[in-house]
Amino acid sequence: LDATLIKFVSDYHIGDFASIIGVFISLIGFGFTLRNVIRSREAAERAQAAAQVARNSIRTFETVVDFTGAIALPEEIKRAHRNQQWILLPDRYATLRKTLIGIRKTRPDLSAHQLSVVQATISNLSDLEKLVEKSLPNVPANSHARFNALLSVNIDELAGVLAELKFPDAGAP
Amino acid sequence: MMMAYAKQKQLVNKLSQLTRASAIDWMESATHDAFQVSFRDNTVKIRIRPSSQATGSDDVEVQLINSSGELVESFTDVNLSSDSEDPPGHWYQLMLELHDAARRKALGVDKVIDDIMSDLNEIVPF
Repeated sequence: LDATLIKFVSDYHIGDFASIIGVFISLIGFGFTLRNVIRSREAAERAQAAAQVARNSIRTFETVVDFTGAIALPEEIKRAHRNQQWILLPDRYATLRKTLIGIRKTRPDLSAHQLSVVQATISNLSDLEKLVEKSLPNVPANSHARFNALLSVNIDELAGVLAELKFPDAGAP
Repeated sequence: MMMAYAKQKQLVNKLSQLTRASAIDWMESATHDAFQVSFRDNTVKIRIRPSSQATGSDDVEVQLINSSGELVESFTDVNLSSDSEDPPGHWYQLMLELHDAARRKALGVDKVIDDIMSDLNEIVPF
């Protein structure tokens, strides 16, 4: 039986066919492997993109929270101006200025316009700090009106930036 | 000594050019009669101040503020004039015009005039 089988295999070149079929099966297997590798890579890229979107959302949320706080502070400063609490104000100016510097450092992707709004507020706060510090303890009584007018402009512009961050699709100037 | 203020002159010329083109949004500053424009990381401020010399006239001063709100550079028309062979009064005139244009922009003077003119043009005299 063995001899018959060997002869059959030899006569009909079964070994050659088996080799050729083996090559085809290897190629098909390789194709499947390649497809799975590509799929895995695409899945990894999608996961990475989703993670990036999540990171951006968290960062935007944090910036919105920081901006909301930064807008609340000048309102407090305006009240302190009206109440002539000059002695407390240099520290508050400095606190707000540092908050804004921190926001700018953590969000370098803010637009040029948004960064210029932050910079204008920082510059004004620095001016106010120096003016009040220099005038203490006798800050001119009518100074608060001018200071508050200036801060109101800054608050309005910061609120505009906040709105742009919250609703980026609404369009920025 | 000469051309120590070359960059400052370029800056003043550029600011004048862009201000004339209404491309810069000057704003009021905390200091009286001083106006400022802020960019990404810096602020430029322009103001009139009593002259440091006994000429009786005022100087126009430009201040450069960094990202922390600190004053890092200031110069006047007198500095620029002493560093150039331009006609006397050239830098004073240019910087005074820049200050005036900044004031008009910051206070919205031209817009107010345009609005009033627009309203006046709508009035039909009988």
